[in-house]
Amino acid sequence: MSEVKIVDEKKLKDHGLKGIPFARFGGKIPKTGDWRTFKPVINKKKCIKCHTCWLLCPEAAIKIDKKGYPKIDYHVCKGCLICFKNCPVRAIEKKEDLHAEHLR
Amino acid sequence: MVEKSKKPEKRIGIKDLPKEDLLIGGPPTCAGCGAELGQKLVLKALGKKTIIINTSGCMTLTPIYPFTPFKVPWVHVAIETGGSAATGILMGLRAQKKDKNVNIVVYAGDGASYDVGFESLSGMAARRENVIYICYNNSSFGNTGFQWSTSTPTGSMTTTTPPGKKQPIGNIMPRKNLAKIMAAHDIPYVATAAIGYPLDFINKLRKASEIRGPKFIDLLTTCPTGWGTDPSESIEINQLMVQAGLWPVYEYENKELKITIEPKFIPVERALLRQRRFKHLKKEHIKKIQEMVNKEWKLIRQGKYMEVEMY
Amino acid sequence: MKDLMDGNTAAAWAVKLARVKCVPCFPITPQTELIETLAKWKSEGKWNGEFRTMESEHGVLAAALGAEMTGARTFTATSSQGLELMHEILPIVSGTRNPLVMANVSRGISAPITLWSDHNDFLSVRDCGWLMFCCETNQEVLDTIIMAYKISENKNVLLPSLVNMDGFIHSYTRMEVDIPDQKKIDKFLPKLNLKIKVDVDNPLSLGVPVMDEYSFFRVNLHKAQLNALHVIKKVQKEWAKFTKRKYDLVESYKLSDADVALVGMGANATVMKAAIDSLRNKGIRAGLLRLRVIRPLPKDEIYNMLKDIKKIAVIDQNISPGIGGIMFPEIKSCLYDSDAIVCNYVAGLGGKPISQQIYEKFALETLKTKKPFRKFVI
Repeated sequence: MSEVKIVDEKKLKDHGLKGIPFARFGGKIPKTGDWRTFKPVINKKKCIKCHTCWLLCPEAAIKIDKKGYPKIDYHVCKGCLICFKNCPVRAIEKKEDLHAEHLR
Repeated sequence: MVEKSKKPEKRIGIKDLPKEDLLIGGPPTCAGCGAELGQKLVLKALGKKTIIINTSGCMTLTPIYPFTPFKVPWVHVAIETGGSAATGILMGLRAQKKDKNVNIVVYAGDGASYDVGFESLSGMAARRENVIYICYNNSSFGNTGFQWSTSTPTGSMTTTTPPGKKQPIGNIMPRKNLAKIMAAHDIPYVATAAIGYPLDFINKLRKASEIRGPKFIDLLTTCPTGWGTDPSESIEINQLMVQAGLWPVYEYENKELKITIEPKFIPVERALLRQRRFKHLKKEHIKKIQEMVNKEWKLIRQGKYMEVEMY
Repeated sequence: MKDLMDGNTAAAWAVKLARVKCVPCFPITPQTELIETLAKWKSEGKWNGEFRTMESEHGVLAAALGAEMTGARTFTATSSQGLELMHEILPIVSGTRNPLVMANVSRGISAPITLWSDHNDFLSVRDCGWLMFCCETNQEVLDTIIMAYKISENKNVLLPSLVNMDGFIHSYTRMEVDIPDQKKIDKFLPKLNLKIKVDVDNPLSLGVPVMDEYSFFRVNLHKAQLNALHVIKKVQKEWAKFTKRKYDLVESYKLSDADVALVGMGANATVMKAAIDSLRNKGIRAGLLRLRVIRPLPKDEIYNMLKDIKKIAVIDQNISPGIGGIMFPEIKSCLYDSDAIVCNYVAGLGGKPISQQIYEKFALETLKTKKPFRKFVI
């Protein structure tokens, strides 16, 4: 249930900029990682660093590390498995992930 | 004779792209959303000095107060204000002399571009505003649950054109071809693209950003929820749609049409019957759609695709 | 510098003096000459803002919002059907807290389609969160538009303003207008400095969807309107200092010892004033309360000015079919503990000329009545 606040008109406060509906980057990120039932896992031994998975991830959840390998951010990976399907050398494995709620 | 796929100069490859993303994950969009991927690619191609103008639709819910995934300015006004809000922002920046090298991009859905926002898109193009207008096309009013829009192709099921005894084909109307309509506005750059060919899309964006004037790109984005496909197949299904000839991928500038992804012309049912929205189609419907595709490509090959009949 | 000019030209002068940078517009009778004046000045180099004729009024307001969102001072103008077409975007401008100023050249709304003035179009904006001002003279139009920028841009307000002038009576009739000095206006109205805006160097997401917080933001708009009451008084005081022209939230005309009061707004208030003068000459103590600020509704001022008057007639140059005049219930609600008899006249729809004699008749009827009534002029 959402919070209910009853305020007399004379006691309404000014909230300054916080009263304007805008959002600035850098706030708390919703953990959409807990949506998934399967998660992609990168096998670095097979990976040829082509960066196709990085390009195709709709969530921008795959970053490239210093050595050029893709790294998946499981906090926001929804488990769509586009990376798994499109890896040209099948270096990404699909693993069951039914307990994603531990990320919350 | 129309030129077939010719590689544009300075083609960008994956390794040429900036590694940093200008947006992050976290929005409550569907898993495997083609439009969200498109949004990422737009920012990948255009860089930090980009302002995204959104119109009410699936992508409106990418930021949800107080969270926003964007590291660039993002503005939402109303569903049909893509072109007009972009004009306003351009006016304001120009008045303050802050518009140099800033990409003003409208990322609007097909419902908001083909239908309700067409007036403002047309006005923006007719006034020759320096705006890149990208229509992310899932061929429906997606955010409200997949209803018919004028971009819905023949044969598609939508919740407002459901197949039934009286109308077994589902949607009987042909889709509007917005890219052709925008070309008829005589704007400097019109293109179609598909999320299944991300580098082609990025190259077109880079090209558009260097042209002055209104630019229009119609981007076919897979909607796994609406089209009825597995989220992991979003790229594959999109590629099949292009390869069947159902979505010609081209660019049109200086009155010259260039096909940038040459399709192999696989039979249309290979692309259609994998999507739940077309599963109800009978043999005669598929034949009709194949004929429509053949006719469209005949016009393309004859160089008559962009012709508008003049008195 | 004094000159004879019509309301459209006066508004254009206000746009020039306020150093407005962007004007997206669309023509509609009786506003067209306002935008034509600005277009002419732009082509002659007398005003150098961004000017665009948009594809519809809807596009106009979306563009005006977009331009204001970048931090550029923006103006636009419209009328009746144009304002109706803008309705979707009106609450979006106030909801995103943008200090846009718009002039409405009032005209009766369709259907049936007409050209002449009444206040239905203006008053249909009451629930949209805009500050609303209704002017009586062309001078007031010029003054109010410039003041509206200062009021709207105040950091405790940040709400758009709608300044109304009557179509034909103001827009096409020339009256004497004093054009203030540009240097004095520059001192009065400094450059716009929006904190929350579209800026590639400080990226923000504007107009984001909200979930639970919706009522928080909407109630904030009301708080901003309440703040505006104080800001309007302050700005009007400052304006009076260098122009010597005083404005109040409501104008009281011979009201202090009145037995009967007329309540009205717009150009017809001038005719009402003449009626009041005529009645006073006949020994009848009549007075006029001219509504100038409609939103935020100056409840305390209206109450204080009318509480001791026993007979009041609210003249509505508008109609809300199903309830009668629009301002009548608003005025009545301000007089919550008064035992005055408050009557309602709906007069002047579609610019129907109501003469001074008829206003005198209204006042006399109201004075005589023992029970409240509602009357309609057809």
